[in-house]
Amino acid sequence: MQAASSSFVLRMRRLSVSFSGHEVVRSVSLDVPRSGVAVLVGRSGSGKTTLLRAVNRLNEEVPGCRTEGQAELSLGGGPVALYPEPGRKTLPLEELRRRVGMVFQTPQVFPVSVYRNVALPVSVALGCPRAELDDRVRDALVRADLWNEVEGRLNMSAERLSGGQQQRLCLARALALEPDMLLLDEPTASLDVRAARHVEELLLSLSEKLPVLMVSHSLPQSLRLASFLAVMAEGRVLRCLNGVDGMEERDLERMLLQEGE
Amino acid sequence: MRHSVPFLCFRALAAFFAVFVPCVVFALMGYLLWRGLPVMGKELLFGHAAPLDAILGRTPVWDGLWPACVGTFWLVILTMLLAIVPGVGCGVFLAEMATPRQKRLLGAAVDMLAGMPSIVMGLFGFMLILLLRHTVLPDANTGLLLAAGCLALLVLPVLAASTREALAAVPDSLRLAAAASGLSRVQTMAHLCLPAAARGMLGGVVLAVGRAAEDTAVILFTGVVANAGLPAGLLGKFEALSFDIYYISSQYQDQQELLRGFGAAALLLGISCALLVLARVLEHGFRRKWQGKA
Amino acid sequence: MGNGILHAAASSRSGRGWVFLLRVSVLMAMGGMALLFLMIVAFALPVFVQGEGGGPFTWSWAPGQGHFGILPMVAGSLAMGATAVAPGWLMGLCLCAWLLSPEKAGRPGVARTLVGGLVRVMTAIPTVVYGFAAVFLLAPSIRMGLGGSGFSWLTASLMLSVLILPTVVLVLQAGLAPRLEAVALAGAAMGMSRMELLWYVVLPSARAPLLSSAVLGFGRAVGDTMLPLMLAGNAPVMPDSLLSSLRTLTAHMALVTSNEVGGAAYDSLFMAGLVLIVVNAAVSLAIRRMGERA
Repeated sequence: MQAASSSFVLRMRRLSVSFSGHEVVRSVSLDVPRSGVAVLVGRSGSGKTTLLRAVNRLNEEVPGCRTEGQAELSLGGGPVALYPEPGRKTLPLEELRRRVGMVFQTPQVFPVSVYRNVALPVSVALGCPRAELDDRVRDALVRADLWNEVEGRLNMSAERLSGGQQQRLCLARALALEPDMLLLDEPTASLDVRAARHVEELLLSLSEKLPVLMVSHSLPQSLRLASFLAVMAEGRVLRCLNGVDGMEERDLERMLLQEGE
Repeated sequence: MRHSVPFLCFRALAAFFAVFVPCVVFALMGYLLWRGLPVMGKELLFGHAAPLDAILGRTPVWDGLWPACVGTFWLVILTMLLAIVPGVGCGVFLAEMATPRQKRLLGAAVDMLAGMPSIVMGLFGFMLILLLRHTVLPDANTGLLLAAGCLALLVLPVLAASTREALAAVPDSLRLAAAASGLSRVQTMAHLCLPAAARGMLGGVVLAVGRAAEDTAVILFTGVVANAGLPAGLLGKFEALSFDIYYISSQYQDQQELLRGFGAAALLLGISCALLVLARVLEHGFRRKWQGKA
Repeated sequence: MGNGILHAAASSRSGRGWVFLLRVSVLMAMGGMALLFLMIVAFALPVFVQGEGGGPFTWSWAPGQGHFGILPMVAGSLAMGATAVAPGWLMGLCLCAWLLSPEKAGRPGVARTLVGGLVRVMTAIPTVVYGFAAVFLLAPSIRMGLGGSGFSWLTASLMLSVLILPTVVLVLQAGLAPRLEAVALAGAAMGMSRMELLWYVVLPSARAPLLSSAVLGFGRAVGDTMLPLMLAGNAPVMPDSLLSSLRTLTAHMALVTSNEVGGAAYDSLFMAGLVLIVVNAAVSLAIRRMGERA
């Protein structure tokens, strides 16, 4: 219980990620609080996405990737090292990714039915018995606020959903695995304004029970959602803010401009 | 722009061959069809035997293509049975699991096999029988199973290459999304990539069927004969459509047999083209799904 | 959750099953290939060692008198390959240039779509069908037009050039199209047509696809059995003109297996197989080199 009460879900110390010798994330030290939505902002190419993907070790799917430094996750059940360290316990890769859910920038639905999109990871990665599957799929779709829209069309190909629906389906797919943390990589970048707002509201309500770490491309969005904000440039975290109340877009913009210099 | 003479020649030649090549192909194939199509019918397949009796194997067919068709059919089925697992397996391995080094080595081996003259596969089967005769089986002889084994070696690279390409066309973002959902590499492959690539892989299988059905050089060494009747079993001699065409062209006795040759050629041409079109339709639908509508 | 973990373990067991199946299939394929190479080399090597008079490395093939030289056939294969590639490659290049340069940029138009489709269909036409059509169409025309028996070096190499044409066109298209697209916009801005771009800009810098299409075509022409066997006349001597008869290695192998019964004649067969494998390996190596450099 001591670990669960730790107020940080993720602590990084001097974490660096490089691809074939090219360093993208440079010696980042960062503490991400457990409650609320934590947002990474920065210009494109500042290393936000790579830093996010370091959290579920997805960078390792890319050949030529090297990660150095330390990181620690507290997902309940005591802190564990994210990357192998002498004398510390790490989670197996697949379990880590089940417990740290991720949603991508463009909706990455699997080319199967709506139902199977959610059911496949649950049954294959988690080994959920067939009898429980229907309930879990429905729960996840309800939590992602998609159930009402797809209730009668579960066997339709997921590729026929609208962009916003697809993104919420991806969210449902991540939620179905009952993760202890959620990573989002510019989740609204490819959506229209209304669909984006819908996803934002969903994230705010989810963040009441679940630590959420997201990369955002939009300053207004960051101001709306963030309870913790990290500004990145050239692979480094330059400033962390606890709360953005009272800040305006201008301030944030100025901050980003200064960092670029 | 003032053009050089070589360019003008090149442009003229290009236009000329654009007309000439189709003309040549249409002349050759048109001639075959012109002579071959009129003899199409149950006479061509069964000769003077009653079709039902011939199909059930109660009457031998001496003057029809039925035994050759059956021989080719079994040959293709056996070949695919032998070739699909190693061929598709190689392709999947190359696309999903191989290290760069394995990719280079296995890829080179598959390429080399793909370019191998088919008669070399035939020679291989022939040597195998010679070896068996001198060692453990003094009365080993060429037959259907041996021919299918050698043809399997011939179509293996076709299967491997098309499987590899079909899997390569599955976008990496899908693999990444699956990894992020906690699926292992093998689970992703089994539950997402293979179903997604199934159409393209099926196209490769159809192409391989076409290759197995048309090849003549391999079976020339491995047990095809002109008048075997229906194949007697896995180790028996057999007839095949492609060999019948060759045989008739060099040994035909009378006008009727010659016409049967034209019929057989037209038939094999039709089968090959139909298989190609089927493979293209399968692959095209698959690519459109993945590579957008453009 | 205990239940879940149990199931996860079970599914990773099925993962191991997949990996095992893939490894086995790769081993099967590799095993088949290795056996093929080993066997042919093992059968051919003793022939090197013997080195008596009348062995395979002489210029005379007369089994009745104990002469088993295959050098005329080696020369015949190379000559046939060369005379098939020259027209085949030229036709292929011209046709490819025409296919790549539609009048309206970006839209191939009906004629080019149809001819492009025809080229693909040509890949599926069985060689034995080409051979059959040529026996009754091309050979008599050559006999009447140019004299001789009609079954000659010329007849076979003309048909071979048609056979390798689609290979040449497809390889060239795959190599040239991206290069052309890369300069198309800049070229159009300078008022150059696509044909002009091809001739003045793309072709001079496209040695790799030009060469590899020729080499691949040569490999296919040397490896083909049925066309030389059916059309070239098969006299085991060096031809003195394009209209005289010629025997290639592949045709020689087919004839030896059907006519001779063992001994030194078979030795020559194995030797011929080895030569074919070496030629094919050289071709495939050359193409890999060019692919790496490009």
